Amino acid sequence: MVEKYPVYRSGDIRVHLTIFICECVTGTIRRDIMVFTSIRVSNHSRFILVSMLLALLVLCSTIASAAISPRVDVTVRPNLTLVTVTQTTVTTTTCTAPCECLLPAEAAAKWGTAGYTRCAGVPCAYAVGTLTAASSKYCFRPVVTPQPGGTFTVTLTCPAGQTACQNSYCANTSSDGNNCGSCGNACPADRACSNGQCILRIIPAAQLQDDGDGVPFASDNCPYVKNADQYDHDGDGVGDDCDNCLMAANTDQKDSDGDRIGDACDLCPNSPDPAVNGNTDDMDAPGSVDTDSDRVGDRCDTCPKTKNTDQKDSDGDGIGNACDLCVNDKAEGFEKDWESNETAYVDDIDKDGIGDRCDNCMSVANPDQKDSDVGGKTCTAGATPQDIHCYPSANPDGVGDVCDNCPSVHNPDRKDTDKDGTGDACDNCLSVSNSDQKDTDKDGTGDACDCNDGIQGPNEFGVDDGLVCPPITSCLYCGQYVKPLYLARSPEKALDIVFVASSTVWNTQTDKKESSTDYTSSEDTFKAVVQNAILNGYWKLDVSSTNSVPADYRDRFNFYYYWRPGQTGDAWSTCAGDLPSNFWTDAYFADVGAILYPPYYAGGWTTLSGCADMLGPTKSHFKACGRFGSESIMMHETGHAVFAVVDTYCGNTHYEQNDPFTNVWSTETACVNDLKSKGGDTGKCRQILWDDTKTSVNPDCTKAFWRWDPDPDMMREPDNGGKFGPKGVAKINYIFQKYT
Amino acid sequence: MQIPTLKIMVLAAVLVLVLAAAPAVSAADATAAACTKSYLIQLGLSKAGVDEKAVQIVYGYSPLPEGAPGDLKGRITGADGMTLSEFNLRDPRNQFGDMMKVSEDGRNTSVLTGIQTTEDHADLVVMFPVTPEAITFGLYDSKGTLLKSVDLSKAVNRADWNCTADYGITRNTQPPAKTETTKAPVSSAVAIFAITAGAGGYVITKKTHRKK
Repeated sequence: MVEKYPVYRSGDIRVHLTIFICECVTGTIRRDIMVFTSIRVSNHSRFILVSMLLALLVLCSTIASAAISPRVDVTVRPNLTLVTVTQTTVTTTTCTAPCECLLPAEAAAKWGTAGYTRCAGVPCAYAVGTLTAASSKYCFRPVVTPQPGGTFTVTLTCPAGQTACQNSYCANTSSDGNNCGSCGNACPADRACSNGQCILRIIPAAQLQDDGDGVPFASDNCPYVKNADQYDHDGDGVGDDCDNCLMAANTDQKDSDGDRIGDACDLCPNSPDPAVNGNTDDMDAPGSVDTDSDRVGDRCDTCPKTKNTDQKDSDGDGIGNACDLCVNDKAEGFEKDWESNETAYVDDIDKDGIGDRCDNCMSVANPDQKDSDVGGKTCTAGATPQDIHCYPSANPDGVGDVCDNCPSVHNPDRKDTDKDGTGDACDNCLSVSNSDQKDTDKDGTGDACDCNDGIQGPNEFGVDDGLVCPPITSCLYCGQYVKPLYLARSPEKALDIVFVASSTVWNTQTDKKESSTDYTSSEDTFKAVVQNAILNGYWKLDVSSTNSVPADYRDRFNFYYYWRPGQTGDAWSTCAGDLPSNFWTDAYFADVGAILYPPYYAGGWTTLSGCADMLGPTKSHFKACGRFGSESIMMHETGHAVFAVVDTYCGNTHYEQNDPFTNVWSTETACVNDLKSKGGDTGKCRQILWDDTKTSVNPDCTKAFWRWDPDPDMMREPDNGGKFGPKGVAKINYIFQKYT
Repeated sequence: MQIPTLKIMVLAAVLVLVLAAAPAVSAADATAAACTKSYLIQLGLSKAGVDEKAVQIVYGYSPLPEGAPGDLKGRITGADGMTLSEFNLRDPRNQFGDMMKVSEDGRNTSVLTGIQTTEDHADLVVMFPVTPEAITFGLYDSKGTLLKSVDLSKAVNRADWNCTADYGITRNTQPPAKTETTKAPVSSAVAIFAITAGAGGYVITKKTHRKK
């Protein structure tokens, strides 16, 4: 058995015998006779089809000639110019603005040869005594051409029931086959416009005509196309020669978008195939594009590269759920990017398939997006879960469990002041970094800051005695507004450092100062910040020095913080900032005032800038950032303001030979001589200049100063493991000695 | 009165004197040694001039700046205008620092860059010990021009509390590793006095016994 397989051969063509509209007008009666078909023919049938086309034309002309109407107006379109007009009486149409009733010559004179177009096919008037094409007046309007990048507006008043379309014409979108439903929406050839819808035309029975292929009309599976073989591959009762789905049975021949590809085999059944020289939507035809083989064409697939037969798109953003990085969040469309380049995951850092924009844990893969805070607790700021100020949480906090620093407590801000990985909302020791959250006596307060647990905590010198549990019961000289945190000795014999909270921060994006209450609204919060600065900064001076500092160096400091309502520091009024106006009266015993400002992230970055108004602890002050984890930067500033150590990196900073116990010299000779007198490798005296991109931004930087301390030096690269070198430590010890 | 009775009374009196004198003398020694009375002067420097913000006498001590470049000078003068001491000071309007940025996760930092500014205003705070001779404090620029003269006699006395050797600092417990050997609260002078008194009492007793 030889099967007629509907395979397209190279010589095949798809012939669209399109529009034949013979509008035979008799009086007011207009009757459309249209024969249409859309058939695929092979070369050998071409002759027959062309013959049929000509026969239809003759039929149309005959009807027109036989009409009894006093006027016959025949319009043949498109591209058919055979027009025969005979008339005894004429009818005309009325022009509506902006259309004007003009002779073609008049229109050309008015708007230029190419500057006008005809509004309607029916003449609006005829020149007296003549009836030729050249003497007919038509409704003409000017062609408006927008300038590149510009816009144009045409005010057009249309008759009732008509719509103003671009290019200044009115259309009845209810019945206009070229503007059906909306301007420019042309119905396919096999459809007519009815009530704004393109519907299948109904061919009157009287006009049915057998195709002459020898098969009776009633039983012909392709009655208008000659197909004697009656091949019907898909067995749907429609012959292959006129079947709009050759491989898929579709008795109803439904073709919703009218592109002559049946819905059953149309990869985009609701979007007419725009292909002119080829086929993109017919799944039975070569060249159709359906990359993910989900029977939805790429052209209309909500996920062109991800199989999603259901095309589900919950958020209606045009991106199917199967490939939408944010299923329930209407996107701007950028997710298409990652589907087109699946290795990039530009908008899904953790590659868990959930877009960063809607991922409740952006940095850790959690496809389940689990967020267990429902049923947890919501706490007021600073309260612990055991606190009476906590109450059951009704909503998740929007932070996935895998990266939630309080998985069971509602804390959408994820604030973690001490940076120990446990959010403030559930931290059992808010003021001290205690990642283990150890709580031996299970009283809800972590060992790290439990002053009543009967054990010596990690920050205590003895049982319940340390920085967090101040061993000081009173401070006679501190006054009302200076709060002691750690007092070791008489202020005359100690470096007295008083910390002040700044009410301002710096926005690195706008390069402007902004107000902040992060440190000034809660004494406990600022106290915690200061405690951290002491614990992880000052009290690690020994490990951040290459040489020995005094064994009792901690007891050579007294630490306090200043807390007076209405009296806050302003870290950004000047380089070193301004202390509160009453500071030196209230804290007269202070050697150094230290303004700490909160980190403020703009664009993901915060500044760590520091500045001092003096070199050394002589009633001076400096500012630094109180950011947890950035204590080394604060110690760099302390190097300047407290210990009079000079920078050793190359930049626009202050250099001087800081005698005695120098760490920077103004000449190489001075450096060498100093080393000779005190001992040390004189060959390591080196000029301060640009070394590498890590430590200097200006490759031309050169300073007439010399340094000696080895790298990484705290005064050169504090963030890169820098330590105070031997010369820096010598200076530090000298300052300690002065205050002893 | 019998001689043995007299001898006992003398010894008892000496003992009472010793016990009573010891803490008083000790406290007086400590106060004198530990609490320094100092002038604390706060001046506001601006383009408009120098503003005297506060002049106080407080307990405390802070070394004068060392190695200051001398863009400002401080001079303490006596009643006859005689210079008692002179020292360099740094102009606090000349400020310097470092700039750096860090990412929120702390993984990225920018290169450290420097900054130097001369601000419009700043406060200069100077502390130096009180001496009877000091009458005025003068602030001069580097050319020797007097910027401000401060009358020290008008200083507000805030050193009016009982400053003790430890400034009132009492710790709950001393760190185990940092415990120091405590001293008896009796000065050497008191001990010598006690020994002398005891010896005197003995001599008196001896002479009385010989007369007998």
